[in-house]
Formats: sequence, structure tokens, C-alpha cells
Amino acid sequence: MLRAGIIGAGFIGKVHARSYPQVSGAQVVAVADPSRQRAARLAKAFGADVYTDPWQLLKRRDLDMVDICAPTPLHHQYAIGAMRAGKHVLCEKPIARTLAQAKRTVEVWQETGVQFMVAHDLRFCPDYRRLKAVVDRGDIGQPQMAYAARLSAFPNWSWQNWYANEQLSGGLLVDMAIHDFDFLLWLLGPAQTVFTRGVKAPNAHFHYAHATVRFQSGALALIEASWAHPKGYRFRQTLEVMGTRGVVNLDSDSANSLVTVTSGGQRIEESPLPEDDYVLEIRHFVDCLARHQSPEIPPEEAISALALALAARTSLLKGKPVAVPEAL
Amino acid sequence: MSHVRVGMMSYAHLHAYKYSAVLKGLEGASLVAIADEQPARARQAAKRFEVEQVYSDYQELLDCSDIDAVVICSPNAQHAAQAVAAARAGKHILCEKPLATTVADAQRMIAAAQQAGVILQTAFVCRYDWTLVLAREKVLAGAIGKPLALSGFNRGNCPPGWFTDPEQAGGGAVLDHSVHLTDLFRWFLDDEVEEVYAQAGTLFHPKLKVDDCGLLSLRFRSGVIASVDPSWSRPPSFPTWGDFFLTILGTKGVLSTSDARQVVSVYGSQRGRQRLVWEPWGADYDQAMVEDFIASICQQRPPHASGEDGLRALEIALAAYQSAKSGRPVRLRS
Repeated sequence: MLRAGIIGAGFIGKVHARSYPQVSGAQVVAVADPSRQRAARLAKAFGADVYTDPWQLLKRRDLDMVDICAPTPLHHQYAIGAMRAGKHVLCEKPIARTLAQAKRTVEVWQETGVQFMVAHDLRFCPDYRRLKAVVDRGDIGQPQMAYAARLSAFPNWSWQNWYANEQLSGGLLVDMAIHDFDFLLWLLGPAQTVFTRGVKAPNAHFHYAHATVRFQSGALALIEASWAHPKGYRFRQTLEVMGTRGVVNLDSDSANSLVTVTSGGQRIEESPLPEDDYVLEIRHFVDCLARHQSPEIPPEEAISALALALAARTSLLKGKPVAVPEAL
Repeated sequence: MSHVRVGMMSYAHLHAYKYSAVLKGLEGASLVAIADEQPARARQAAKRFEVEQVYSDYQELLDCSDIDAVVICSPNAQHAAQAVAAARAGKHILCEKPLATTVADAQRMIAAAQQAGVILQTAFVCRYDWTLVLAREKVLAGAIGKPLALSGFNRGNCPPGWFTDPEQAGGGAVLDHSVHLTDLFRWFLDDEVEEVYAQAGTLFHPKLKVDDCGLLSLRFRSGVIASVDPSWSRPPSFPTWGDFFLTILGTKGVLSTSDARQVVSVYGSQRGRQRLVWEPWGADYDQAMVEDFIASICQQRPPHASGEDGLRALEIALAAYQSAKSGRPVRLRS
């Protein structure tokens, strides 16, 4: 049984923590968060130890892996610290806040020889996986265009509202659209140029953006990201890929296999699965550790996703098309 | 005027058949003459719509003093010459979109119509789509607050014939399909596009001499932004000719329209091919548009989509080509 420590007991830390009971082969033995109360709430279910200082958690000799769910600008410090302490690292996306931090993280990973995966959970979503399989099988011919959208009301749950602080989070392109950037890179290969426009919330962060990306293959993609949808709007993700011989698409809005209408007219729409993408993602990483195999998402690809997201952000800020740098 | 006598100018664009059928059914109008440079096509249409006056020369049709109005459905590059001649002959004009292939041509058409005091209407049928009419009313009534961002999709099959001939069409998918959406955006927002960035390519049908796909990123003067996918990316197996949907995000809500909802889904075999087919049952926008053209002539009022509107949408498409070529955003003249 692998022993895992979780750093960060906020929104995504909770999601990760609740997945571990479904992953045989790993157990949570330590949780760190600057808020003892929050850390304790997560730790309770596992009887895990609580830390307010992640560095104390990293000192534990009995930990095999660390699951980093802290805010983005802290990823690289804890990832590097964990690697240096000989722990395997599963780190939330994005890999880091800056390319320099990301590259440094990968260098240390290569030196230390631990296992390292960035949790781009979209790659484990069954609908996205099925779509990828259809494209790879050649059913739509050569993929030439794509449209990806991630639409939501503003996520108001982050610690001290750090999502809204673009210096910390990188804004909705680096925090949210990076899911689609990563998936499209996986699907279509390296990106060449990106052009982005956006809309700002009054005196605040960008809360809507669309980006057009040209890939080195010549393929084109439109990516839409919104935190500006009305309160109560149900998060929606969609992806469509257009090829020389066909089209394939998915849409979370039309995936609800279970609809319940209760007296009074309340309508509940659900797409139930026995295991969600977080369970599949964590299980994959744990299985790779047990079998000494490389995880499905090479860290270099996580850097490419960050490089594209940051280029999209630069374009947004400058109002000009931006060449996407070769990541490594 | 209480009864409008209409002549059809060319059946090159397939919409001509639909417009003809609508005209046949209208009380306030009649289809009295047909001109087409392809005599066989002219004769065939004349037979189908029971029209006696058939010409292979457009000027002959325009010389008829008993014709009040014409509908132009020729290849895009011929619109200008035909519309200018029609205006000089004192005929009101309903012209298929895009209005023309160059800004100068569109301006000539507008000037000629103005000089002759005839109506020049651009066939922006989407303005008559009942779902979109209602959507606009809601937006104008503030249902979603102040608009912030729009995204529009008008993707179709690759059209046949002259549509992919750069000389006759003046462009490909970007010109053919973006104009409907950019016109709707202008109509919804009552605002003009300030800057256009676009990518275009021939990615689906590599043998074409025109673009078959593109992406447009627009900024309006008010700061509202919009994206457009006008690509001919629908495969032959797609349930219909294409799709058309529009989303408007506002400060207090979001509104989406789709033309893929008011349909019956047919799982049958059509033309020997087993596939899903969507058959639409929504309100008939072609009918509404032709009726409005006739009504604007009778009531001597401006049409809902003018020549100027056609010109604006054309300018955006041409700026998109310029941007795609240069790789830089293009600012439109104010």
C-alpha cells in the first residue's frame, strides 16, 4: 500500500481526497494546509495526520507520494521539495505559474528519478477519451479543425479568491482553458500561433476569452473560456473535432443520462459514472508507481500546455497574435 | 403599389427555387419573368413555376416595363452589374448574399439604387428566422443584461459548382458563411466592427481554389467581442446541410440559439444512403423574407436588411481575408 500526502485542502484537494478510497493501492496518511481546520476536515476520513506547514509533511520518511493541490504559484516549490525528498509527485494543473518554474521542476524531476505527473484530468474523462479514440482510429480522416469550450459561472470558492488574481492564477486561460489547450495539443500536435480576445469583469480580471490557435500541422482551433456565465449556470464543456472525412463531438449538456423531475417542477439532470476522471487519474498514477511504468502524461507535455496558455495570455494582453514557443 | 410583378435573375444560387416557390404563393406578388444565362435552366424553371416570359439575356428582362422588382441569385461576382442595370431600369432589388465580391461593387450597387429610388435589399434570411427574431427582442429588452461576447457558428457542406470558383464566388467559406453571422451581430448589437483577426485555409477539400474554413475574431466599437466559425466542415454524413448556432453572453445571463432543435430526426434511408437526417419544421424564414421584400415595396419603406448592411458584412469578410493573409489584426475604417 502506497502512502500519500496531500498538500492543499481547498476545492481540488477535497476532490482528490474523496477519490482515494476508490483507488486500491494508495492511502492518504497526511494532509497539509495553512488552515488546520480545513486540513483536519479532509484528514478525518482517513485518520491521517494534519500539518499546517507542507514542509513538515514533506519531511515524513514514510510517504511514497505527494499529491499537490495547492494554489498554482506554489506548485513548483512543493513539487521540487517533494522530489528532492524522494517522493513521487502528482501535481494539479497547471504544472507551474511560469515557464521557468515549470522547466526547473522538470529538471529536478530528471535528476531525482521519481515519478511525476501533472493532473490534466481531461485526459481521463471517458467522453474525451472516447472522442480521442475515434480520431486516432481515423474515423473522421485527418483532424483539421476543433472547437473547445469551457463555460462556467465565476468559481467563487478559491482561497482568498486567488483565481481572480491573474498574477497568482494566470487567469482563466492558464487556470481553466489549459485543460483544452492540453487536450488539443494531445490531439493535434504542437501549436504555432495563438490570437486571443477577452472581456474583463468591471475593474477586474478577464472573465471571458476566445482564442484561435493554428497548429504546426495547419489545423485550426477555437477555444472559448468563460467565468462570466450567470450564477447558477451549470458548468458546460464541449469539444468538436472536424476532419477530412467526418466530425466528432461531445457536449456535457447533452450527456445527462438521468433526468429526475420532482413535484414542483425541479429538474435534476445527471450523467452518473461509477468512477469519475479524478479516480481514474489518481489510480493511473498509483498503478504506474506500483508497476514502475511512466504515466500517460509526460511532464514535457504539461509544459507545452502551459506554454500555449501563457502565449494565449500574452496575446490577450497585447492584442496581437503570438508565436507559441517550443516548450523544451 | 398593391401588386408587385417580379422577375427572377438567375437560378445559379439554389435559393432561387425557394424564393420562386414563395413568390408563386403570395397574394401581393406574382412571378412573371425568368432570365438565366443558361437557357436550359431558364426553360426548366419557367416550366416548374409556370412562367411565360423567359430570357437568356438579363437586359431583356429588365427592359420589360411591366416588371416592378427582381430577385438576383446569380454567382456573387455578377451581382453588381445586374443590380446596377436593374436599378437603372427602375426595378426594386432583392439580392442574394454576399452583396458583392468587392467593396467598390457593393458601393456602386447602393449608389445606383439610391439614385433610381429603388429598394436594394440584401437576402440576410437569418433576420427572419423566428428563433433569432425572438432572441434579438430578448437581448434588446435586457434579458441577459449588456452583451459582452458573442460566438457564432455557420458550418456547412462544401457547396457545388461556381461557389468554389474564386472568379465567380469572390471567396470561399469565409465570405459565403461569415456574412450571415456578422450581419446578425450588427443587428443584435446596433454596433460596428472595429477590428478583425482571422485564420483561413483549405483544410477539408485540398483541391479547392478557395478557402473552405476559417475562424474570425472580432471586436466591436463598444468593446464587445465575437468569434465566427464559417467553415464548410460538415461531412456528407451530417444530418443536414450544415448547422447554425449563436450564443450571446451578457452581464446578467446567456442566450443560445440553435437550428438543430426544431427538427424531426429521421433514421431512414434517403437517396440510398443510410444515415440520420434532420428535417426542419420551424417557421419558414425564406417565406418571411420574400414577403417582407414585397411589403417594403408596397409600403415604400426601407427593407430590414439594406444594401448598406450587405456592404458592412462584406467589408468584415474581406478584412478577414486580409488578416488571414498578413497574420495581423485589421482595423476597419470608421
